Amino acid sequence: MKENISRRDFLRRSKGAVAGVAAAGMMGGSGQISQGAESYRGTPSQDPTYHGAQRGPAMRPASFVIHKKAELSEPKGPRAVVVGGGWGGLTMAKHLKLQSPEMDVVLVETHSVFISCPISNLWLAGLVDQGFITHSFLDAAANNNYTFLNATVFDADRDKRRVYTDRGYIDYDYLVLAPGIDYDYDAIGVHDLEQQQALMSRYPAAFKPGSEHLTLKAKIDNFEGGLFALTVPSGNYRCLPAPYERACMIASVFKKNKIKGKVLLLDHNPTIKIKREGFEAAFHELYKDYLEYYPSVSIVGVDVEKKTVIGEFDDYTFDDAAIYPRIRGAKLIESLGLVNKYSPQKEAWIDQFHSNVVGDDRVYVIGDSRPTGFSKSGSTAQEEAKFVARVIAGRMKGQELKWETPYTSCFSMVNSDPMEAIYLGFKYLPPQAGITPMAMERVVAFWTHTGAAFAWRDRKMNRSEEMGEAMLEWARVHYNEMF
Amino acid sequence: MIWREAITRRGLLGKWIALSAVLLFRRRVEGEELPFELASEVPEGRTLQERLTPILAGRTPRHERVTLTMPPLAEDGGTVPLQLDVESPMTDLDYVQKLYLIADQNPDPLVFSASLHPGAGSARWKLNIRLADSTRIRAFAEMNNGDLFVNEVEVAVLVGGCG
Amino acid sequence: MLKIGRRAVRLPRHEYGKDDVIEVKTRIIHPNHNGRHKYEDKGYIAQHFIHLIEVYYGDQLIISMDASAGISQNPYFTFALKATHSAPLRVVWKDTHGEEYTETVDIRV
Repeated sequence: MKENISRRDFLRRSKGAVAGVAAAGMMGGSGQISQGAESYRGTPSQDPTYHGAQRGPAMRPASFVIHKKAELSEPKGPRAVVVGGGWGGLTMAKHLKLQSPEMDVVLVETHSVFISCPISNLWLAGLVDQGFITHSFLDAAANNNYTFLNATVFDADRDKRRVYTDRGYIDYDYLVLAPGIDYDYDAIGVHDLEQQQALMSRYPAAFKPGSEHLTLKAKIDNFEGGLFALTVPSGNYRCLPAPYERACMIASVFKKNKIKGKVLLLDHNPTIKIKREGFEAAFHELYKDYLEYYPSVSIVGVDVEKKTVIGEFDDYTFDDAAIYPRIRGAKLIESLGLVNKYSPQKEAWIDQFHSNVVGDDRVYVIGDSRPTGFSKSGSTAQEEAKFVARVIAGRMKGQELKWETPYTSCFSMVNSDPMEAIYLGFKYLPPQAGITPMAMERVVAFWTHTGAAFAWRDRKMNRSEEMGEAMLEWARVHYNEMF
Repeated sequence: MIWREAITRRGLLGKWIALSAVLLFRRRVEGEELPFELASEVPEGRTLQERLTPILAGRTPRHERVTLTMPPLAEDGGTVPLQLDVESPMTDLDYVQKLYLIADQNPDPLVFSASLHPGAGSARWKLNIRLADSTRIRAFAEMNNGDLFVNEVEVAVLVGGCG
Repeated sequence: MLKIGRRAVRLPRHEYGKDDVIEVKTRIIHPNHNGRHKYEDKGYIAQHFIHLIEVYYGDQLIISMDASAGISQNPYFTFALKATHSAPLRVVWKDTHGEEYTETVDIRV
């Protein structure tokens, strides 16, 4: 009640229409005052324009939305709900329909516009326009005969086979979760929520596409000089070459526009984690005056006010930055109780041969919330989604598919004038190949369901224009698998 | 999957198939100096027994006083953090004289052997080590009176660091 | 770019008094090649690693570590030290090519 009193005091002290509007906003947005509303007898304002809480709609429990069915037409076949419209989810929705045309597929995504993370580094440097990486979920759904629901999933009941969204619940026969990643700022020593929010909004990582990317693009376009810090996290982070590619792309902008600026690339790893020869050559030959690379920088804090990355050994002051913290499986996986407790990045507990949640062949997890040591990249998620779509189609007919490796095909643009890229493609060995005869519970529990060993296939570390053109073609072909 | 397949698997890219016959990759300047030397063979490995025997010297180590802390799962075998603590007053009369670290599955299981002087005043270390494969790791502490203590942990490695 | 041999020895940022046990962090930039990585089809990158780390507190050698190539690239070594007296703390790294690197900080109590 104390809060109600203070609210009332606030209203009494405030005068005029502005206070009335503010009060209406507060009432509408807060579940906390539902208890106090009945006993509310005060006159909030003498302003005749005020039509606030007194005559407003009756209060109801906040859980109302879980009793409401989402407004979707009745399914004509088994219903699959795909949660998450990134590379994995979009490919899954399309390929479920291709594999099982009788299936009723609903794609649930919280954003209303698709922005591709792959290729976004090229857009940051102005090599492609925004239209190249921006696409419509409506087109994807219309072209591929499924339903797009612009909603946010917050819970699921696996007994009832029901998934809850902010636009009502949906009953499913198959549920595919492709929720991607969340950031783990605690892992770089930023524990305070206020500090986390400041860091997230002022120096966003830009590895979850959307506003983060727009903010970063404006930072690059408006950079007047000095040091522009980028960080490379520990662990199996999203898109291993991307921070190095981004460093090249930002440096190329400085070089082209003759900006007296340098990219400061602070890497947790002791050396460039992937495509080392290709990136090293670009750093030395193209960006000697525009890029400084520091390996083995273990970040223990970030001082947002002082614009300083605090390393275990040295501090690095910057003029602007995009701070990429460690990543983890999407928090949705955790709130659904599906985390593998042995996963260092809080990823899902799945049977890695078929991607279903262990013990539940109706719920699948694909994409970057998987615990498997696959590369967390768009092309890997796409290949994986195509396989898992076949797994589900097979199981509907009572057939079980043998595990197949996804392949990761991975281009990185290192030069912008001319556009030159490098390439690495690989497949994975089945997990048994890496098992040593250790009878440890945690290893059996984790390793047999996760680990991956690489089978290297193809490397093009000498940058070339041919690879640069191939990269754009690669993007078009992969977008075509989704839209 | 080679790169050409990655972009041509839906048959959209006839021109790439045609172009692929004439690969015009940049060549590195011939004779450019490498920042390392080359060897024709890998160094000879050591057996676990070969490394353990001199440490044990006929003694049976006791599972006391040493604490070895490592992540149960290493994401990258190339750099695995560890912490090593030995309970010891570190006085002239009673101190840790030797520390050894053994990774059973490494090509050379002995990661390090070290000597300590009581002047350090403490025996608590942190290092990053390489692990070739999922393995048992043992830390031995030898006291100045010849007592030998050990602690063992097991680490699963997702991507090996020695290959 | 960081050159081989760039090194750091760091004492705690916080205040410490006589006989406090403090954490000393050390790191040297070094490839620590273990001789097992292939270089294209030309052979293997030869062994080249830090094989000895020594720590002197004043004139006293307090830690001497014989290391194999099992230590990670850019060797990182942190140890606890009882700050019994004011004296220089000297860390020496030696690699298999005969290079020697030294870094000194002052312990003040």
